[in-house]
Amino acid sequence: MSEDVLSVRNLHTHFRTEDGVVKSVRGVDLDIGPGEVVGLVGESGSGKSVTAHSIMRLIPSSGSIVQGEILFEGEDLARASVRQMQKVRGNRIAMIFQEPMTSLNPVLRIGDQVSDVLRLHRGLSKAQALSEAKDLLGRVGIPDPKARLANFPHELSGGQRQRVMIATALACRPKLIIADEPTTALDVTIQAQILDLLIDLKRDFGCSVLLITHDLGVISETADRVAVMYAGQIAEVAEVATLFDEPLHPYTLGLMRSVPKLDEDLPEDRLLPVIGGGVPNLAELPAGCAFQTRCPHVRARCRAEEPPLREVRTAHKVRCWLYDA
Amino acid sequence: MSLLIFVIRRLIYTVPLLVCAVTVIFILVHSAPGNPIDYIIGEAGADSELVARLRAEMGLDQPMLVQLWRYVLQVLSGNLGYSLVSSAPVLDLILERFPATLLLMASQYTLSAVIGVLLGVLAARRPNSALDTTLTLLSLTSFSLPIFWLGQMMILAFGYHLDWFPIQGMSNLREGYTGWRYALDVAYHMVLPVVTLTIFNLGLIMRLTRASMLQVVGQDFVKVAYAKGHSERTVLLHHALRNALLPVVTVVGLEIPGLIAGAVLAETVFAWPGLGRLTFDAISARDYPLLMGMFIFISFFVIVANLLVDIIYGLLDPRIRYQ
Repeated sequence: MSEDVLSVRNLHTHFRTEDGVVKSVRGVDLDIGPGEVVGLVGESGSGKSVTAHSIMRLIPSSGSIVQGEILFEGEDLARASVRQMQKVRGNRIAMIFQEPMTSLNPVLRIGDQVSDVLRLHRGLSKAQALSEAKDLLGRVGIPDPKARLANFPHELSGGQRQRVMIATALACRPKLIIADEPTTALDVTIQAQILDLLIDLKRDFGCSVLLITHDLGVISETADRVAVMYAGQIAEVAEVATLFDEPLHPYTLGLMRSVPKLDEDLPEDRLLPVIGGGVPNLAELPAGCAFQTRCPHVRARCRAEEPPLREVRTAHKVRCWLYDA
Repeated sequence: MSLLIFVIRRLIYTVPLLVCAVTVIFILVHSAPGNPIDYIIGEAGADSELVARLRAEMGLDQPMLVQLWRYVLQVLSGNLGYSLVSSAPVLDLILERFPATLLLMASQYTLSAVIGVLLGVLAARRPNSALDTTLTLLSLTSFSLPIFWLGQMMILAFGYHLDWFPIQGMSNLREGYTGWRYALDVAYHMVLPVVTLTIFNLGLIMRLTRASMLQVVGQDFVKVAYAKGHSERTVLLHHALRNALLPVVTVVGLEIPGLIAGAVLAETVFAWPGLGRLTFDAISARDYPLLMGMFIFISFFVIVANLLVDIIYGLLDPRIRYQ
């Protein structure tokens, strides 16, 4: 386990709000090996994005990491100084965001926005950095990269802008890329292109990827391992094939079932099954399992004790009393 | 290239705009009670033949529309007429006073823009903190104060009681300095009027910058800039501020006429020999040609200032140029 690029241990991130303390992340453990693509899935409000932002230490000032370790190449980022974090961000860990349309600064040229990380972290001159930015734009499949350097973001399409974001993320050859819903805002044909590009480049550049999404289709095509998040905790972790073939946690099962299957002949009311109920209020969680109110298999024990995340098969962990041997 | 076309197009728009301004000013001045002849012949009165001759000489016997047409042509040819009080050409009077006003305006404007924007960024850095609340309170006070009162209080405090700065004027006439000694003397005389005007204009710029920054720092590209490893200083001043300045520049541009009104008051209080004083004196003396000339000059100044604002806007935001 020591060769893991990133090793998150018992991470707790809380936010102070008017309704009390919202426990967005409640004891997350996550390991990412070298060159590995780990998918983090869950519905809105499950804490997947907060987990990613906690790793980058980019949570808003109302929130804080109250407990846990974020070991990145042996260094605990949870305790790193602001200055140390500035040397990690954009350099050893890069992040790609959901909205390519608003992720680029509208008043700065594309060339400057791709090359500024090179000047900041690698100390290149402006000319050197721009020349490398041109090569990077070529690598991410942007036609006529030299001319694009002088363009402003509004002159590029959404897909091209996300390619620019990927080029920026790769610029300093980071060890880890955190992609937070990188294709959600793009239309379906572009989504596939961007994902393919991300995976190809990950291989070429030899970095690991933490891919955050609510789209199981995206996970099945790109990830090596998957972690399913629910109410601020990891509900289940497994190799991608294992998880899709034999999902164990009732929540994972529900998620799988709620993917519409258009090739099966189902009555109209069963075309799109849903998991009844909603995500519990993270400021007032019930005792026991967080999924108890929506679980079809709920038992007395689930209401009393919180299940631990336990390895029930090889490399397959689940947080559920159903699998308590 | 597109910026050049933009500027040329805007300069062409200036001509009809100026004609409209001249027309409105002409109508306003001519609808005011009395006419120049009454002021020339004074209380004693004159025979009707003289009055008729003067009326014909000044073109006042012509219909209003003809008079307006002649005046517009005259103004467009660069002739603003002659002062009733001093008989000097109006344009010469104005150009003689303009540098003093320009010096005062440019200094206070640069100062209030730089300080106002920096304080605005500082306030937006930690919204609702003690610093932010203090700055908010100060800025609200600063633009609520009447400028003539503030000027008089400055004179009372720093000119009279503390005796740190001269009370009025632009230079010490008795010493008759030349060269850099003169420049220093002018700078010394400028301190109180510039500080007064800066305090007055600072508040609005600061409030606008703060509000605009708060909106910008919530946007995705600011988060991206942090994720790239930039320091807070770089993110705020390099990435966020340029976006936040756009609405500030717009409103500050719209405020320029108000600034001139402020200059009239400040120049009167500090006996600054600029256009503000000239306007004030022209009003007191009912010097209509000079007054009209002043209004037209101010209109022209406002039009040019607005053009500058539009150019700055185009430079700040690449999306503007091509529209």
